[in-house]
Amino acid sequence: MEKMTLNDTPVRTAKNFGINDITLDIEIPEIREFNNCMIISYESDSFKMSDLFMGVSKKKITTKIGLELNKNYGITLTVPEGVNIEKPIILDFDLDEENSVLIDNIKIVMEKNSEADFILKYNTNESKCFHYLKQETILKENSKCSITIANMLIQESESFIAIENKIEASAKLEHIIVDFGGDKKISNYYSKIEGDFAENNLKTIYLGNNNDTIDINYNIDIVGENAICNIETQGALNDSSYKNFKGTIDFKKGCTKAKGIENENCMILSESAKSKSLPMLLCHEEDVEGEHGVSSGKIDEAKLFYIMTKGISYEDAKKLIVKANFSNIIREIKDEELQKEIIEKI
Amino acid sequence: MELLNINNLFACAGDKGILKGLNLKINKGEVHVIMGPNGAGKSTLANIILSNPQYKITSGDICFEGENINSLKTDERAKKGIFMSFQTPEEVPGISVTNFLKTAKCAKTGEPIKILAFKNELEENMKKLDMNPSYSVRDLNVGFSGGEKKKLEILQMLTLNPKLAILDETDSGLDVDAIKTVSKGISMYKNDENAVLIITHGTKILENIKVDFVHILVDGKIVKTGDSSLAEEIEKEGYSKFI
Amino acid sequence: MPKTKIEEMDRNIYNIKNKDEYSYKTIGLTEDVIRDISRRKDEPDWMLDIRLNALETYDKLDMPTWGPDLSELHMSKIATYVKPKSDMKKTWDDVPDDIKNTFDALGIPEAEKTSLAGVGAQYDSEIVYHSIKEELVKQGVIYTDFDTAVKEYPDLVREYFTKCVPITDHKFIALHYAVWSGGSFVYVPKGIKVDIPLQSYFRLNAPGAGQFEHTLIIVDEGASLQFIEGCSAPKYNEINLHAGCVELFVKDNSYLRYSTIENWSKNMMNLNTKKAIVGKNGKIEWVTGSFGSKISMLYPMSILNGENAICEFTGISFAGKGQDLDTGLKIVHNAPNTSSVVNSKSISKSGGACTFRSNVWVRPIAKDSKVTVSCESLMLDSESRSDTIPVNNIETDEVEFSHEAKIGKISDQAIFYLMSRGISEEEAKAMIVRGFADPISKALPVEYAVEMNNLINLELDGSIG
Repeated sequence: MEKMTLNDTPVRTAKNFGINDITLDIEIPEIREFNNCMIISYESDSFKMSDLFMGVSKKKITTKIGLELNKNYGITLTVPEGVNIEKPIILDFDLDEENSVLIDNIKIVMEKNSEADFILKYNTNESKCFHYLKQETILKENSKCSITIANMLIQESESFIAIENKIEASAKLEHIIVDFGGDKKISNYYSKIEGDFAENNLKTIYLGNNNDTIDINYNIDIVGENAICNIETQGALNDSSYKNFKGTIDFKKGCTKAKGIENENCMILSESAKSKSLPMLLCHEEDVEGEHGVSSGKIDEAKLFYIMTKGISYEDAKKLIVKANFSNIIREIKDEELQKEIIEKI
Repeated sequence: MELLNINNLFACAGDKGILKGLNLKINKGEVHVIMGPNGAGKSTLANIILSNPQYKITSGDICFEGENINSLKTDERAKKGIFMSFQTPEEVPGISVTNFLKTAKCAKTGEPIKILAFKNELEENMKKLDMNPSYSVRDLNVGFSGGEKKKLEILQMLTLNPKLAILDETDSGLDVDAIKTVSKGISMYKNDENAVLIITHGTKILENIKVDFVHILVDGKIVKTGDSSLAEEIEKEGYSKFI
Repeated sequence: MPKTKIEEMDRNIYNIKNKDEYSYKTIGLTEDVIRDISRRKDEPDWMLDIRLNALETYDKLDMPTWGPDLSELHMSKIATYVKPKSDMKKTWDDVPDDIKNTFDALGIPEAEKTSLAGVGAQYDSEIVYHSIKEELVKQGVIYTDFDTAVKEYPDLVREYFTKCVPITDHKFIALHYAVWSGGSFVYVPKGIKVDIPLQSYFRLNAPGAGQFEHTLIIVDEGASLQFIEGCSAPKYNEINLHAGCVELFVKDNSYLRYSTIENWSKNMMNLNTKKAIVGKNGKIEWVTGSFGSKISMLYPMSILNGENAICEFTGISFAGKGQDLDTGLKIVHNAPNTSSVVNSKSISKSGGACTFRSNVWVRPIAKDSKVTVSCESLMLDSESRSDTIPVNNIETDEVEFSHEAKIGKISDQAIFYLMSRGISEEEAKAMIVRGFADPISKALPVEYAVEMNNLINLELDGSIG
């Protein structure tokens, strides 16, 4: 076990508010080869796979989470200029007893005017897993890309997801993060919206059970003019789970007419669940529109009552409402099968 | 006596050309009506006369009382006596209707306001426009219904008593009674020394007003000018034959 | 050009500099300095012990690792105690002319006659004038300078002093307790309603000095009070320091409105601490206007300790050139059915930086609590900064919590609308800014609302009219 302080916010606030970073006891597992990745695509000729890495790297990967580990899987996917891939490209990682540790580095490059959707799926049946993902995205001019990252590991696992993006002019990036598995779920998202008229949407759903610790640290820097970003986070906390949400939209000088919206909604389903949030708006430019909203609290009593009058139990009614709140985000996932799987998990 | 004279005006919003060689002349004592299909440039015309920063003149002239006002700022034009009733009046929190009107009146006359007389006149006008006097202490347009906003525009017109009043679709979205009230407000204002330019889609607002000219605006130009019968013709047959 | 109806204010009234005259002055922060201050005040030993203990704490605590840059502050250079050449007087006529003239220009004696129930006026480190209406004294209301309170009401003071804001809270509060001087003490007995406000005004004249006044207010059960705090200082090139402390005890069923118009000069580091503990059915209302100072770090805290306790916070910050105003609030919901409503606004201009920083903590015991936070920031140009850093810490499911924030500029279309009625561009902008600040003006007594509007006009470069 090692005590580690991770996931620093870009701007610090008073230490005793306890949200600048998170200190965790982490047991770093032995890193071995990982052999259970399947890449599924109906149009595999239309994109390039390169830098495939398997085995255990000597060099450690570093991310804004602050955790440095040797990777055991890496790949770069490039969609060439002007190519439009309709069906999503699925990277299916199956973690099991033999392959319970995955430290992967997935890089996605969208060349000019290209379009594609990706799904990164992390599954396991029984085994307690350790997963650390570094996902990098580069969107060149006028490209469009949607990436879904589904963490469906079992509850005892540990999950670290770090994402870094660079978005050029008129490009559009959408990330959907489904963060379900693991009693430690640490995620970090950093985007630099460099180009004018570029857009970045980030949609997250998370679930907390038992004594789960969830630490979410999102940071979007807006540099381009007329750029748009939208952070939407929906979560539900049960039992004694504990969540930190830190979301920062930073309007850099010169990003005139940019818009940034940040919304976090956390349903607290039990007396002993705890929710902390820090939705930051940093602004160095006059001509922008920035907004954030946070709400937390228990499930709407009126809704619960309405559903229960139809003969549905309290527990099921709660689940229904959580599903309803998540559904807008789930619906945007470009794979119906995965949608079903996710709904079932709830 | 000539009030407004627009000569071969070209104007754009961003990169998009909207007015394409528009001519219009309004004399004291006249009532003009501009009708035209959506997107023809009617509101642009009203806004460009008051120099809304969203629109730019590319060429042509706007003259008011013989003076070219192309380079004047919005407030300077207003002080010369041009008024516009907005299609969607801005909500400005924290400024009461009374304070706003006092400031505007004072800016226009350059003299201190006689508070009591001002208050009486305001209340009188509000009564005539069927407005609840309590609206005068409310924040400017904040929480007003569509109808109340439009009435407030007319109230401002009566208070500021401009030489030329431009009414940009003041009747749109109003019920029959409210249109009547607005129409009554116009009659109260109108005299031989001033003029009105009404931009509208309907003829209801014109019922009790003596209209001198009706212009049809299509694609940034006035394509036909006639008397009040032209408005009735449009009401019946639409714009298709002018497009 | 027509003038606005708001009366023009003479910019210089805040900037009156009297000769740096004093009867005694200490510089720096050492045990000797503290013993010296205590001896000169002829304090009881228990107070000296608190001071020495605070000094020890100060040395142990670190500087904050967040917020504005405090590197220009050098405690060894700050005049920690500046005793003015006058003792406390009961009538203005006895106050030395130059000091009296300063307060005259600030309008304090005039306000006292027309709209206040009591006045305290501090000049540098000591109160020079204190008064209270006879009726209030008859009802048992105490309003006096803090040094007098230590001597005349030692039991009350000992019961409450440091009990709301502990010495160990942070480095600058430890500093405050080590060298505190001046400030006001208020006690409102059970059931007494003081309808007319009391006001304490703090004026710092000495260059390079610190002001460390301590204000302690006890509003006993079922009582009510409105208290106004004003502060200003002339501008010098050296750094001045304000590290005051306000301890408020709002007992069961009682009510306190604490209003502040802060207009420190732009060489001031304003590191002030304010806290209220609110009992059952009690209500604290904070109304704050922050205009002055080079750097401010100020986060009034409300601890809602009794059931149904309420906190209302209405505040505005206006940061101009060279100002870094890091302000906000802290609220702890520590009992069932408590509620808080926060309305915070900020305006940044000419390179000024406004930061809204908050921490709202709903503890597990605070079932059925309600929290509504709203912050709006207005940027007047792109040289400036506006940051919103709110922490929300929710530890119960039985809570209604919402937080909203908006950042933006003045709408071009709103300016056009006002200009189309003949109002100049500058005045249109000023009207919109004043309108933005209107909810705070409304919460202030009329005279202070006028003063606040004047301050806004001054900050807007006096370009109005």
